[in-house]
Amino acid sequence: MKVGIPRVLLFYRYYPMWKAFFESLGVEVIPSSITNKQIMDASVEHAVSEACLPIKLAYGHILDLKDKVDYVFLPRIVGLEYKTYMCPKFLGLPDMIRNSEIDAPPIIENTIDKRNLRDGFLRGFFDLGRMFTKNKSRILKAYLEGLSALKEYNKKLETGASPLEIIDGEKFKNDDPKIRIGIVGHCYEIYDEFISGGMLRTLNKLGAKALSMEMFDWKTILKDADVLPKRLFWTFGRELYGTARYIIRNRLVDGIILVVAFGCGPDSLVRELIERDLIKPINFPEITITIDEHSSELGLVTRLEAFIDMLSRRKQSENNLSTVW
Amino acid sequence: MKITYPPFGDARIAIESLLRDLGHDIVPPPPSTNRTLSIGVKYAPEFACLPLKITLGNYIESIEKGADTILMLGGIGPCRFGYYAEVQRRILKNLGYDVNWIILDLSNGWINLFKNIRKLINGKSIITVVKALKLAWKKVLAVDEIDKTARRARPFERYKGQVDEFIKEAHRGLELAENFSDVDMVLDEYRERTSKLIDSNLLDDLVKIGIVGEFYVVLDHFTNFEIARRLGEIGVLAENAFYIEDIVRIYFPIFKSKDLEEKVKIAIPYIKRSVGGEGQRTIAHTIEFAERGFDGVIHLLPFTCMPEIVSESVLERVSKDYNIPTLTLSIDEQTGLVGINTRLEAFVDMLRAKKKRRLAG
Repeated sequence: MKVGIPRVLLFYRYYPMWKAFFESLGVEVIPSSITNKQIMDASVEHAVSEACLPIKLAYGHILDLKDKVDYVFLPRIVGLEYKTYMCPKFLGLPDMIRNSEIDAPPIIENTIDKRNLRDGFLRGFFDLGRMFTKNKSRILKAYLEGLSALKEYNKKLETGASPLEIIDGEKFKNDDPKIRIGIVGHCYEIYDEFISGGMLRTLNKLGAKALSMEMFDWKTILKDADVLPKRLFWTFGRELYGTARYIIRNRLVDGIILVVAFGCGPDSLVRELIERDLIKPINFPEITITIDEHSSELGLVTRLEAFIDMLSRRKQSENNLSTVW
Repeated sequence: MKITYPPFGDARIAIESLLRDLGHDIVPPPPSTNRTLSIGVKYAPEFACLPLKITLGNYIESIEKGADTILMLGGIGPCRFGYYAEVQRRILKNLGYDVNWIILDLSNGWINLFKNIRKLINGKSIITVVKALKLAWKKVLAVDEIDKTARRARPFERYKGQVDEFIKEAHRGLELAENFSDVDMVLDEYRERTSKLIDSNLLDDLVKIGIVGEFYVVLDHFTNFEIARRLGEIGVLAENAFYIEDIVRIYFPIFKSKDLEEKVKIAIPYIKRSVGGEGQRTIAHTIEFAERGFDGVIHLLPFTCMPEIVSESVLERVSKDYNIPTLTLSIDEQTGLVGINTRLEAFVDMLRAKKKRRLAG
């Protein structure tokens, strides 16, 4: 049996785990192609125009898997953290796909709900495993193998490798970066080089090292988001705020790129919090890059070059940052 | 302490009554206008949803009138509404407005919620509080009835704006009402005046449209371009899927009612679990309207509303399965009245032609 995994949303975060889990159960895993123009066009055609681009892309990637697989794995992810939600569109994505006009293979849409259940992760994978085998110990074994694959993947990330290098075999040069840049955004925006306009490649070419949330310890990042007087109820929001605060506070980067998808609900507010709480008070260098279906690589390169030039000049004249809050 | 609150459609009358009876000095928010909207748009995050912008404008206008305390609700997600107050608080602070907030919110624990409720109770006795609550609830039911009846009466009005005159007078009466019998008196008079207009033999011939969607846009007349009035004036019976009473029942845990929860179940084949906000309910309401024989459904949402995007994606399938035409209107600060009018008229024309064909056989 072949299960297809669309290269969207949480793909660059959990793919190694899903792959190990399925393969341990004797299921072949096929990821969809890297986003290309064809996928983009199909997505824009089939999805509601108001949805954000990352959600729209699910349509195109699932169509890309058509005829290649028996099932498409598209879990309904309610929460990745206790008492914290994902965006409503994650909760409804399987419904959106199921009720759309696209002619897609059947969808495996089991729920992963860590918001209401502390063991939501384990349960989610058990439900998933039961579709392929009745043997509980086999599922447990697959789950543990998945977890260790994820651990290994995260360890590699923490050394500073990019998911694109690990999963897609992209080669980035790593010789002594002159500038370090924090990219604050979701994994599905940063690592999809088609929609981000090749941001990581461009930064690498310009001699800048890109640091993103995946390269830090998740729990530490989230702790930094706990300073908010009202706890954010979106995991992604907490991650963005925590990452921004963590890297600014520890002076890990020279500047920040905020990556926001057009029409992203949570980010519209979280970005405001980051700007008002963290960036404006100390005038930290920051640019916001909005991602939509019209993003062009040329426009992006110009902006990134200007930003990096600015940071390099700033670095030369030292003593550039005022003190933190 | 001069307290203000976001005006939420006709609910403002009930909120005002409650706070006044609890002995608060209140600054009723001036009715939303284009100025309110442009203030909100100027200071709110660019991609925030429309209700955040409008309510921000409301606060600033109330502060200009002397308010120093804002009453607001919070939430636990996943809809953005739950975090409104936090963002608005920061914006007002950075603008230099020094205001207190009373945020009724469970996410910081029961103790915090009780503290805030105590501030609202203002040292009044339980009897006073219960009385104030009862009167406010009575007024909620009253404004809902006024709204519901107006929707039936408008297609029959003798001249444009007749029913609105009745409503205005009834609302003024409700604002002044101090007890149950005052409210009943206002209602009796309103019922009498509207019943003279309604020709119940012709009610069935009207094109019937159900309005579903995100609750703020559906219930706040300014935000939805007074869609009910516009439809009424072109001879359409436009019914809402829910009124203020239902929203209170849905969102305040003390009022939770079983049959409202039962009603949502009809949507499960399409949306399997709640996606926050009205997402799943929108589908349930659409199916309900279809089963009640309505001619069409209008789906209202603020631009980029997350739960409603899920329902919008599913709505096309529901529309086909239940053979009911739907029109989705996504509203933000760029939406123009002319555009809305054109789309409404085209939709109604289409429904009317369809209805005629069906009646002809």
